[in-house]
Amino acid sequence: MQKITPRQIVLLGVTYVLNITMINLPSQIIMVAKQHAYMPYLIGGVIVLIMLFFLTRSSRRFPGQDLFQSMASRFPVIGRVIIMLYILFFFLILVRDIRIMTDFTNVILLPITPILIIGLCITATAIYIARGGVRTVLGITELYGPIMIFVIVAMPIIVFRDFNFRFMQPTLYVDWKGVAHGSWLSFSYVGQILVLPFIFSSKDYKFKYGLYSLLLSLGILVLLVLMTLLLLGVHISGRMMYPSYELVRQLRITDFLDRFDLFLVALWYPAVLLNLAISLYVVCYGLKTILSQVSGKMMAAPIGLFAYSCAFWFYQNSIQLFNFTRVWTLIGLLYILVLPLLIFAIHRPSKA
Amino acid sequence: MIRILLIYIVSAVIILLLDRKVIQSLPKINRWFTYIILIAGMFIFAYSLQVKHVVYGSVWLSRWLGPFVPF
Repeated sequence: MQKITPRQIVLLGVTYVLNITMINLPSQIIMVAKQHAYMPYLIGGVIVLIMLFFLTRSSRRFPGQDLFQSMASRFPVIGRVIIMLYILFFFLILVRDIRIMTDFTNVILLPITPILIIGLCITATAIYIARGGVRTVLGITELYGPIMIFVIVAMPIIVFRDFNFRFMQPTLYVDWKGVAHGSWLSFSYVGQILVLPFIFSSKDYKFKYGLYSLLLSLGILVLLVLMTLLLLGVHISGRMMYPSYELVRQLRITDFLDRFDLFLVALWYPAVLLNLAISLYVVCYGLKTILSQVSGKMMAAPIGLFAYSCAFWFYQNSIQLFNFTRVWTLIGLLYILVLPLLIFAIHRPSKA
Repeated sequence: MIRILLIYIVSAVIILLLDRKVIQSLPKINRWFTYIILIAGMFIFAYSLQVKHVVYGSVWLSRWLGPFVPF
């Protein structure tokens, strides 16, 4: 069996945090935190890092097992309840991401195609990836992760000449209330990095991989929001639905390659499908952990289709989807703050 | 509405046909889980498609949790 490498774990964490956050969150954060929209990511990241440390420590108390396995074996009842809560969390992430991607595709790429068909195509692809198991997910991550990171890191070189540094003024005045509001919004999205100790055993996963993953994700998110601010300004980007896409649309390498955005979307889109597949995989894997007779692979298609129907029931429209981020963090607090602390406090090997 | 619901039904039938042989070889719980999840999904899909008033999950949650959100 092929070994899971640290590089794959780091890239999976980056993929899971970055791809949806970069499309759904920037406009909301810029709207509240203005020219200091990079700060909320960092503040949210610090809290999430502490929680990741707690979860990693809890995971390492049970060598060779991931958190799902160790909780189910150590606490047959409470452990399974906690696992079910996390299954619900990742299912809600899956539902949200299906809807975000469906709306994005409908608004930007395929305005005439019915939204239900777009959603079905996206879900079907995610199901096929998730059915391949963790190896398939990691394989695709290894392919698209580095490309995405390279492209985003190279973007400032292309757009530097168009930067307007006056958009960052007043630089020294910080609206702390707005920054706190932005941190509230970003917290639950950055907190998705906590998936790592749940799916990787303590043999493969170490805290430093999570740390690298989080730092890389935050660095890229900060870079993206800074580029958006410097290129579009606070007022325009705060009022756009997808300012990151608008940023990409500004990229023009030469006179003959003026639709460079299509090339970048073609790279980013499979990475987002991978995001959905990771959520679906975690849901199926969690289900398999609490009910050992259930085949996680076989459950991917029914659960994926169930998530598809929930995506259209749960969110009324894309505006409502954006507005729900405020409430989503409140739900996320349970999974990113409360449950990790509880797991850290109680999840120890029995002394007997 | 019925025509749109067919999208879901056809997808569910495709899943059942493709996995038929494998699911039959697995313990029964897999079969029941598959049926229950697919039927529950169909009801949710049909409910969200109706023309009358639909209570959307996130709207309902926002109404309950909204007062506790600090911002």
